Amino acid sequence: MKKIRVNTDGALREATVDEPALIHLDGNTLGLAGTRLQPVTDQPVVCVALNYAGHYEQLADTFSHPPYKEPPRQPVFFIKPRNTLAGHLDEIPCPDGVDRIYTGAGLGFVIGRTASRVSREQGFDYVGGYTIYNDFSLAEDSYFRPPVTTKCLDGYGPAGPYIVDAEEITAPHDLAISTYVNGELKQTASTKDLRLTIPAIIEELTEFMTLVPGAVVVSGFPPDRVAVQPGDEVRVEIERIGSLINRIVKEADQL
Amino acid sequence: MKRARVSIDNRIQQVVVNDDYSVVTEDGSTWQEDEITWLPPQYGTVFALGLNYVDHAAELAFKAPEEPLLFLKTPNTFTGHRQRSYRPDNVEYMHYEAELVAVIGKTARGVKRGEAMDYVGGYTLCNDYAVRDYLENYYRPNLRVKCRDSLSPLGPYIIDRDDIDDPHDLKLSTRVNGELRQEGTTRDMVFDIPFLIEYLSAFTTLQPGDMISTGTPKGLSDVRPGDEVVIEVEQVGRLINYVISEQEYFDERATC
Repeated sequence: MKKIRVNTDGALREATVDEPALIHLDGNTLGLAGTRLQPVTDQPVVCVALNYAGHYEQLADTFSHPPYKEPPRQPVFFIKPRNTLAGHLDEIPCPDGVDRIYTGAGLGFVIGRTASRVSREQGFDYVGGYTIYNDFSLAEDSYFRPPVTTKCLDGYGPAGPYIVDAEEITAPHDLAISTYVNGELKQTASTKDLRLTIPAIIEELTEFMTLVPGAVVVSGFPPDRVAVQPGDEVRVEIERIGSLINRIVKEADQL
Repeated sequence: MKRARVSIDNRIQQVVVNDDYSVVTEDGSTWQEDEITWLPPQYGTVFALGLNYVDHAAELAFKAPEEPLLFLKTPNTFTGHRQRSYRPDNVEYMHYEAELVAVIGKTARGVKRGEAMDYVGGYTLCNDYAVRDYLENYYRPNLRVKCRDSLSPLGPYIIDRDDIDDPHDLKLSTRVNGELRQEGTTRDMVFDIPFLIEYLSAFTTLQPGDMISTGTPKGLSDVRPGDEVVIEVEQVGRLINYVISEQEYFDERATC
């Protein structure tokens, strides 16, 4: 039984979840498989790019060439604004004229108290919980310009299904992340391969950005994102947290 | 009509702003510009434009883009009129950018440029400071340059769309300690407001309170702690900001 915070009606509420994925909330039991949940944050989400060892190495040869010219000296962050927020079981629209979109499974951590200029030694004190994030994206062929037209489509950042309290996750840098499409395993990774650890991300980010309680930061995305198309059901599973499920639909069918 | 969000005696409220920057509260009391704390007028998503003035792109040795260069700003970076922004220690070059901001008034998705101005609720100003030392070629301009705490003064207020004759024919300027440093006109925008609304609303839903910060003309220069930076857009208004040191900024925050 894990302590979680779940958003059923626009406000985060405390609940518990057990192994067959039943949420216990105010004496009621919800079957997670059939319960659409609201996003677990209302803040823009900050994500870390190029933060899995394998991915960085894949691209390392390109970094000395234009347009980059040299490897990154600083962590590479990007923003998913409020229109991208989505919840568990929300549908993800694939625009007309686009055949495939790409998944981006990542471990999100949730800020527990206001964080500004926090050192990595204190970083974990500011983590209130963890969630699952899926950074949906159109094909991205370059890291030169901010990924607005590829990553900021409506609903392209589902987070959830819920937030697991930080105390429940004793080893956040040793969690398996799996992406399934229509039940078939397509990608596996481990948070062991994060280049910047969670406390290091907090130090780097809060040097210039104050993070407020409830803000979600996504620690990174494993290489080889999975191509998906309308009709596909995408399930991201993170060990000890749970599964976040979203289905891809044609945008024309959703509007 | 000009509307602002201000704090008076620690109470946040909406006020109407007069031409002399005095404000009138809902209960009818009037306060002078320097008697209140000005807050950012909105906290929506800011879609900001890089290299959106031909002369500015040339100044930075770039050719004008064929597609809008978009980046986003986060709420931590917003501050209000007459507030303080900090210059990080040990940097070589931090500059202002005077920008006209279109504020979305109603939900926009799939809007064509012919109808786009119907979705503009009003205008405000942004001083889109940048710390060039932190630029690098990954998701450029990166967050450390454009999303730093305090470095996006917004305001002072939102002026109604219909109070502006033609948003694409307004003079912009920046004065530092009274000295004119930047001058241009919104006629020189590469991508105008209707184009940007069509472009953005093709893939994203623009929500009321979202903002499009339309870029800056040439005339960048370094600012230092102690500088008063005033950006002005004809008919819209002027936005004052004070540059302080990193130490002063964090000392002030610690005592708040």
